[in-house]
Amino acid sequence: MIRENTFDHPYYVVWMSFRFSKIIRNIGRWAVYALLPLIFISCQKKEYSREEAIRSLKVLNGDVSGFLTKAGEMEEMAALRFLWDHDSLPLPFATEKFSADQPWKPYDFNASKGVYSLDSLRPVFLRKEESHEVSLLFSGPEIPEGEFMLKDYQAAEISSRPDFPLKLEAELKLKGLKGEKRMTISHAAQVSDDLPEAVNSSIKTEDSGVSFTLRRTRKKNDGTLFLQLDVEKKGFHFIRADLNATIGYSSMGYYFKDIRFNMEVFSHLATGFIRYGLIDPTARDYAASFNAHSDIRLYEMPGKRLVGKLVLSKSPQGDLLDYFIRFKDGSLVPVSEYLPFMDRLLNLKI
Amino acid sequence: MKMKSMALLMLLSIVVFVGCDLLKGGEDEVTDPSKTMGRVGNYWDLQSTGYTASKITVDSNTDGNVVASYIYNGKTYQLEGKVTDKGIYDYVYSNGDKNKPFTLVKFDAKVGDQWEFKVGTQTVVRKVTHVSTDNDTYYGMLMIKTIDVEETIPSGLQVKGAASPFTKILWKFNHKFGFIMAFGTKTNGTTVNLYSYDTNADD
Repeated sequence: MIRENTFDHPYYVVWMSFRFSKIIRNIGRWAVYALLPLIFISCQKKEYSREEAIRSLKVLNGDVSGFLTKAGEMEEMAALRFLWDHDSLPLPFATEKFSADQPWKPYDFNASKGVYSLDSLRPVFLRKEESHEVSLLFSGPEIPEGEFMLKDYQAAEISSRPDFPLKLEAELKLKGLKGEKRMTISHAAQVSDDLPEAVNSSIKTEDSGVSFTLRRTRKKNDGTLFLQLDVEKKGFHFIRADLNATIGYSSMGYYFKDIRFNMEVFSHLATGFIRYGLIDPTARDYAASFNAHSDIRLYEMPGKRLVGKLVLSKSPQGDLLDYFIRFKDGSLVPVSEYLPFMDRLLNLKI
Repeated sequence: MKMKSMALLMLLSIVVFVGCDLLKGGEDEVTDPSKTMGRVGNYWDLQSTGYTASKITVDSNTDGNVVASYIYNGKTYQLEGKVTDKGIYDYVYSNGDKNKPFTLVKFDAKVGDQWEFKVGTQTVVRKVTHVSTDNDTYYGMLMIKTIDVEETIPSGLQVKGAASPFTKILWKFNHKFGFIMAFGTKTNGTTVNLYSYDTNADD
């Protein structure tokens, strides 16, 4: 008798499928048992003690300070600072430098085209020859020989001065000891209602990049605003921030109603919301109004351990308001004490 | 016991009623344009040293919220504020948010009265520094009384996307003519003046 192939037998197939599903169920059950301690541990309140939180803040400050120092030491940044300090620069923004205290002249890209070089006696850029772009040849005591090229520039007049750039393509070349370094700057934007509606900007070097995105919508007098920032080096994204806001419109521009944001900086995450529209700027106790309508938390990643909550309070020295971090034990420390760089960011009015 | 509860309830009602009324603070102000200087069409002729003369005109008034326009350097700009029978408020620091008026002047203000507007940790302060008891200020051919308000602006405070060019502004108002003049001190120490020499606000 030729034995029938067991695998072809329909009952065996059904039996095996039951068996298989049972095995899977068992594996699943054991996986859950194995994970229970982890789930239990992770469900516990993950909030750092004051000492742990201070250690965490020091780590964050070290990360950011190190990044800012290194960024500041980049030859590309030194070259841009060098150019910015020259009043004779035939570039947009340079002559006005965002000052709002005097009438300004829109930047004329076509009239500015040419090859310029730095005068040897005075710190002035002089046009040497015609060109289809703005080309600046320079060198300085602390920067290598370089060239900055503004290849394209278009702008539109908007409510905020100066003219808002709709298109900008630029390149920086530096002759370093280890060969030529390049930085490219690219920017494209759309404007509506006298305000930026869409922005895509990027700055790229050979191994790093910064990108910024803005999207604004409008429906009658309500709308939304989305901002995104990404900073990376060699594929490692060490700053990633996004902000979603609902906004209201007026003849003066727009104002915030609700703000939600996430900001990953190295191994930390700042996240939260501000119900800006409900905060009363004329309240006798403004700090209480701000704290009642906002929730801003700082976590350390991975593991999402809560370092502290950000609150507004009067400084111990007097009546001046300052941002503080509230630790697990309820104690407050000024943000500037452990994160000096945050003060500048928090005081920016968007 | 029941009477006691009723009395307590009544007392609570009175407290809540009075408390709410106090909290409203200013909602009893009259915003009817025909009874304020925010009537549509009202204008103020303006002059500033070094600049061409201009005129600010009220274009609309909705429940006291006025939109006024003026021409500067060939372009028309709009300004929003609130005008009641008791005072003038503006929305400069809230960027036009009508829920956040900032008192510019109260016509019954006394020297020392102060109003504050917070932006983050920064505070804009408006303080009444002088209230005339006699007609001591020229307005065209007239001598009038003024209420002077000194505005102090923290360095770097953003207004319409740029740092405010001013550190101080001294405002002068009159209860009948409204805006009389403003002296602005810039961050670089220079001063700018803006004054009105005619208006139909008192018509």
